[in-house]
Amino acid sequence: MNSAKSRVIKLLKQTSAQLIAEHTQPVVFPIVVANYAARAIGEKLSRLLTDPEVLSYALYELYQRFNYDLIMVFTDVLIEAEAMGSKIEILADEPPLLIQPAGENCRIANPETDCRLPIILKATRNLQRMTQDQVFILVSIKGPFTLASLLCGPEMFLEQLITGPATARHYLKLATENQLRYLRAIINAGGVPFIGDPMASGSIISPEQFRFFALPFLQELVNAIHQLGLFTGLHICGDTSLLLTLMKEAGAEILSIDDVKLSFVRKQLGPETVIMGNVPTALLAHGTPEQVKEAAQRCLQSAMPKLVLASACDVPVSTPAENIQALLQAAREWRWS
Amino acid sequence: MVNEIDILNRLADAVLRMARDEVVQLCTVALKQGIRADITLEQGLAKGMRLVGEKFATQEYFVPEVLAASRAMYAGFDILQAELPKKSRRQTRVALGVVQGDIHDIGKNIVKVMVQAAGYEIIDLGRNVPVEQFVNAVRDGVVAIGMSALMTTTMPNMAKVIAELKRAGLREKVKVLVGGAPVNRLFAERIGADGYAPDAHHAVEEIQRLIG
Repeated sequence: MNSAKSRVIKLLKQTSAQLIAEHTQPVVFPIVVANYAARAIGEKLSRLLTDPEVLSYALYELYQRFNYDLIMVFTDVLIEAEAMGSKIEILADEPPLLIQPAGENCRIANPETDCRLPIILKATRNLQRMTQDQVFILVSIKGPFTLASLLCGPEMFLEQLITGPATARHYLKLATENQLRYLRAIINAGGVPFIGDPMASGSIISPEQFRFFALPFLQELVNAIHQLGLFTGLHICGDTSLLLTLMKEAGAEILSIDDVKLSFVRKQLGPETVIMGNVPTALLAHGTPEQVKEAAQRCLQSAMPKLVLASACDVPVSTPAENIQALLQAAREWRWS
Repeated sequence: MVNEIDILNRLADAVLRMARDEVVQLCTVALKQGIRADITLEQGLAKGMRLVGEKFATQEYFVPEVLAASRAMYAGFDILQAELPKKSRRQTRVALGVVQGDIHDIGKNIVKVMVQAAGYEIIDLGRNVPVEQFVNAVRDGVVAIGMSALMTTTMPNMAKVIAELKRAGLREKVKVLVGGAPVNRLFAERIGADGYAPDAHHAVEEIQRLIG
């Protein structure tokens, strides 16, 4: 059997030496999420953000069209913060806006009933059924650091790391408690929780701040996922060159890298860590298919075999289909000898 | 006055250490000692923020430190404000905004603090700013606009603003600076911007280079 799912399991379980010996082909996933999928099927983004049937249809349609190895259910960064009491505004065809952080009024959300969390769970169940269990359905879950920042207000939260660490921790604990509950619901729906923590970027906080305010809470999520018998991934946006070893300490099996050269990442993390990445999103949106393919080939040369060849961050809405094809083609043309 | 230099240096250092209460106290002392408010602002508070900017550029400080230091600086500024000379000369005005479609404004806000500390008046256009609003700011007489984008998908809107300025015959009246994580110098040159800065510290230098 050579389903996408079995290929990912093999990537996770086998050593790099085994994968090389078997001339294993790359696992590949341009990170297609709701915004690109909406554009590609000619639907308004707001429809995907509010209707589980449209969301699952769009993600399945793109998966079929391009035939990559993973699916990711991701609508927007605000979904958990909204369910915990932050006010947002959903726009017709752009990502939602944070209008008013929940602050003191935030509460632990019930994933089965609160705001749009049930939409994510329903879409996950749909996709599980549509793909007949042949592919892992990754479901985005925000890291506690990012979620806490959206509950408190991003700048207020970052400032609290210095001037009011107890307040920062208060929000981090609430965010963690919420995510422990949400990740169980995701797993029950047949999804694999995949952690994204864009606010914990090395472009924003220092390694020390990451160690104290992001890492312990990430570890709680990862441990809970492991106890439920699943693997997970961790994506952090921006420049994470100073955070790589700390990201590894979080314990997620897959580390998704945005803006660091994979040759450097591979050297830092060793040959047995699964790296995901990282064809630059600017290149996908504005480059030629040849440039995309060359960038993808550099990723493969730097980080195979324990690699998910992917876009650096989610695929931009304006990406031409030929550029996604070029990324996929680089993976398919990869040869070991 | 040795005392004056000492107080101003301690004030700059307190901003650098993000010590809000100390900044407030030192500003109060400075006024009591008869140190001019504008000198206290320039050689104490603003000097402190320049030092913060340098540490930010060398990755000794990150965004939380800059935000905490700017909070301390503003607390001191509140003390001085009543004593500052009513603007004898009109301050040079700079408009800042995050381009349309983009809501990531932390970077823009940090640039705002730094540029303000360097003595410019900031017109903050906010985030998700339509092309026309940048153009209107130029009509209202700002000498420079700074545009920020954090998403590759919204970067082209910077070029749209420049095109619209040309169409309205305003391009020569204003210096255009661009910045934000995905933006680089090559992109800035390609769209015909006058300046580019990789971080807030360099944004100040770039503005000073372009408009003095």
